[in-house]
Amino acid sequence: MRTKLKTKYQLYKMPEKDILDTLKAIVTPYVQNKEGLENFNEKTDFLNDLKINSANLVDVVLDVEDEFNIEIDTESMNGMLTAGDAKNIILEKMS
Amino acid sequence: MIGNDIIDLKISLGKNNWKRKGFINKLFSEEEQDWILNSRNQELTIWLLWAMKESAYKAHQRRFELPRSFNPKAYRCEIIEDKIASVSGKVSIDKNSYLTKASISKEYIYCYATLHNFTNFAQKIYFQPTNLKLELINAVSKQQNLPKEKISIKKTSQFIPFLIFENQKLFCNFSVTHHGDFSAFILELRN
Repeated sequence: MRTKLKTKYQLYKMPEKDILDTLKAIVTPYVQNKEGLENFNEKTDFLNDLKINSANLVDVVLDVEDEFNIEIDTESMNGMLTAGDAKNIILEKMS
Repeated sequence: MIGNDIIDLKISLGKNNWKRKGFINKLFSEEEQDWILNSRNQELTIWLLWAMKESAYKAHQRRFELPRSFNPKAYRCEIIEDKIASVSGKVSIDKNSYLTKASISKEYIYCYATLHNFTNFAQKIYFQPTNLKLELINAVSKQQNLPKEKISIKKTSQFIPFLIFENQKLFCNFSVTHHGDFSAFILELRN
């Protein structure tokens, strides 16, 4: 189960590894290649490694917004293709 | 240049994710959102516009060998002729535009995008699980009169697929798509 985080304060102190763990939980329902989750890391590519349907990428973006209480603008969304991209966007938006 | 996209409607319809706050706004321009809201079947219109954007994106990315980007809103759709089961349109990105043609049935939406209206192509849609790569290689083999055993498909660092014949890149534009059990390829033919 993933923990629901409420405030920016809690997120601010969130270690990067926890961000990746939360991301993994967020993407899991959309993953078509479950093997890709086994070694989930910053290089994990949403489309090519996890085979997430491109139409579901927007669901991932919306889930990340809800979970981390941030807003992902169009420009950031354009480059959100790997777990590392997402992590960096989250860190940037929370700083 | 060419791109295609297939949507298996039994997977996409009835999911309600499109009703989420922000979903439509992240994918569609205000004008497109108006069409969706005023259309008879909003959900179907969403996936039609999505298939148009996706197929134009593929054609555009291949044409300029662009790095991948998830920027659906930058692709602006226009409907030119709507005959319900067949919708012609145009998708513009920056100063470029692509012509699209979509077929809509109860089961699927299939759309392809070409740079010119005179582009010649061969395409095939499969409604059962298929080895699409093999089907594409067979088609290329027949079209170019090359032994199929020596043709393979690789991907560029930007994940754009290309065809190889005996270690040489074949300059042959194509696009593949799959969703659920459905898949399709489109292959540009030289005049």
